Amino acid sequence: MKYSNLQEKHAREAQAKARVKTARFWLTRLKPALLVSIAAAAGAVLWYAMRLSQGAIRPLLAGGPEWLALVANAGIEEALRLGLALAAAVAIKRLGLEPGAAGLAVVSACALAALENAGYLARFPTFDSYWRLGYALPIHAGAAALYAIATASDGKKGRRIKTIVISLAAAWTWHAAFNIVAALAPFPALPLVGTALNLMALTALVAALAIRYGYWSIYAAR
Amino acid sequence: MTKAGARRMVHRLILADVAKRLGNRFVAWAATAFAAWSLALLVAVTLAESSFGPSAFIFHALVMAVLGSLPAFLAAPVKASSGSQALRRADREAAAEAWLDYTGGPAERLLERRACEALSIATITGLGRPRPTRTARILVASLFALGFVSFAIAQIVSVYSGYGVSLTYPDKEIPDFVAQRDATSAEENAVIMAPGIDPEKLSDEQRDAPGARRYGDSGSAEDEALMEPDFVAPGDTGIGAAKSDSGDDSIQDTTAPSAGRSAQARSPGSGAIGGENAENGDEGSGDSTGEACAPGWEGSGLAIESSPFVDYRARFERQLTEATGKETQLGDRPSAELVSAAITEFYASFDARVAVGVTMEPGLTRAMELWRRAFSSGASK
Repeated sequence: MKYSNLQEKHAREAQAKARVKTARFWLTRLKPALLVSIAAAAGAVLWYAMRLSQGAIRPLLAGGPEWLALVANAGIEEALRLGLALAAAVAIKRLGLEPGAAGLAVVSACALAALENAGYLARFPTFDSYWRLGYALPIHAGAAALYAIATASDGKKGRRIKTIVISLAAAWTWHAAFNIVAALAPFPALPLVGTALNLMALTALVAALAIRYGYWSIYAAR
Repeated sequence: MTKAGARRMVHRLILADVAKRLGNRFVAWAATAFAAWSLALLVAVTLAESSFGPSAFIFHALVMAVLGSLPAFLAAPVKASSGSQALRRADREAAAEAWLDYTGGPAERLLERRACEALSIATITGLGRPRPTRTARILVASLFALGFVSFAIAQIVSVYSGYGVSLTYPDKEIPDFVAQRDATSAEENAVIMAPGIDPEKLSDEQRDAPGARRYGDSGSAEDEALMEPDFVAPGDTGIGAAKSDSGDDSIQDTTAPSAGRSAQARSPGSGAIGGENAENGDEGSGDSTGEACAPGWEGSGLAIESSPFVDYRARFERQLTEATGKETQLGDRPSAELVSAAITEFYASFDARVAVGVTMEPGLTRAMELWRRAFSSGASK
């Protein structure tokens, strides 16, 4: 770039520096909102991927028992959710983000659950749909929290893989069990019992997530 | 205090700090959800009558999404330094932190003793509370204020709009009425009756009441003649004029019954007002002045012209007959309650929601049947 004089050159360089600083400042300020938006968008994509996958395997399970389809659908959801958690873990490491950003997986789960709830509401437009907030939503959010804990970088690769596999099995079993009971063996107290159990599990997992990413240094010390 | 005891105390301190942090986040979620719900209510109530208003589905989907964001609030990322901050709040002398960071050596015992003392004091005096930033506090307070203001305005608008107090999507009550219209019932009930009227018990006079003639039926020539409005201008040559001018009894004898009938059996567009006038003997006075007394007409003499103030009931009956092809019969002197009930019932179909048969998956159908049995309520309503 040609400048008419040295004074102008210095002025322009100073302005460019200030602009970069301003951009960095705003990027830092907007980073949380940006990350939350990305997480919510990822949840919407995950929901669509789940629907596509479940639709793809439906013909294969058409002749099988009802419980098998429920178990398979829960498995697809959990596998895709774990995939997102692993992708998030890699992205957090590569981008040098705060490890606690893994908690954004729960934001994705909430976005997914919101879309799923809207789908149910469209199909069954009753106030009973609100029970899903206590029964179904904590299953998604709890599983996301569990995967966020399991995928935390730990040094030992073998142990980490084992933790991830156990987490997947636990989340899949829990999810499939609640789906089967709701679809095939419902009982009057099910919404209340299911809500209580799921909220307890979710609270424990959220607390564990906070401890794992915010307080772990103390546990690690002693 | 032993080493294990100190460790337990540190863990308890951390759990208390986590609980308080989650509590703060719960309050933030409550403020957000309350503000969003109140704003949604306000928008729904304000725009309920307009085409821009949100549908019930959008309203409930939004409310569910906002309520369902609780886990996202609770699990929002925490800083890795949260634990250290909690310790520093509880132990200003950093005795516990020094013990935790010490990798082992001759000062182990000493540091452990000091840490135990500091933690014991912290347990008695309180562990401190993770305070949200000033901005966060102001934001939460603003959300609560916004929620309260929106909620108050929404309720005022709702009450003024006739929805009463609205805590959910504003919807006017739909009468508990199921409209069943099929070929069989149409044949069985050729006449749509007002609620509580038995067609078999109607007298002939009531059967001839306004609206009794089948719509589109030409009827007798006498009826057609009687469809003329019963007004005659002074000096005109007509039945009424002949009545008033000549005073011929024979003509009066022949016209009187038919005139009396005309008030009752005019076109479906005629109402009860004319009938009452005829029965009360007002017809003669109406004819003598040339004043129009038929509904839908006003003025006198040559200035008679159609009036926009037609009899509402006559119009209602005519439109219903046009729409349904059935006769309407409210009786010759229906009470206001009867007419009101009939109108409510006849127009209830405007609010009817038609459930179109959808092909459902067998699994879903089975699940719905099981839910219906388990919860004893219309799960698929």
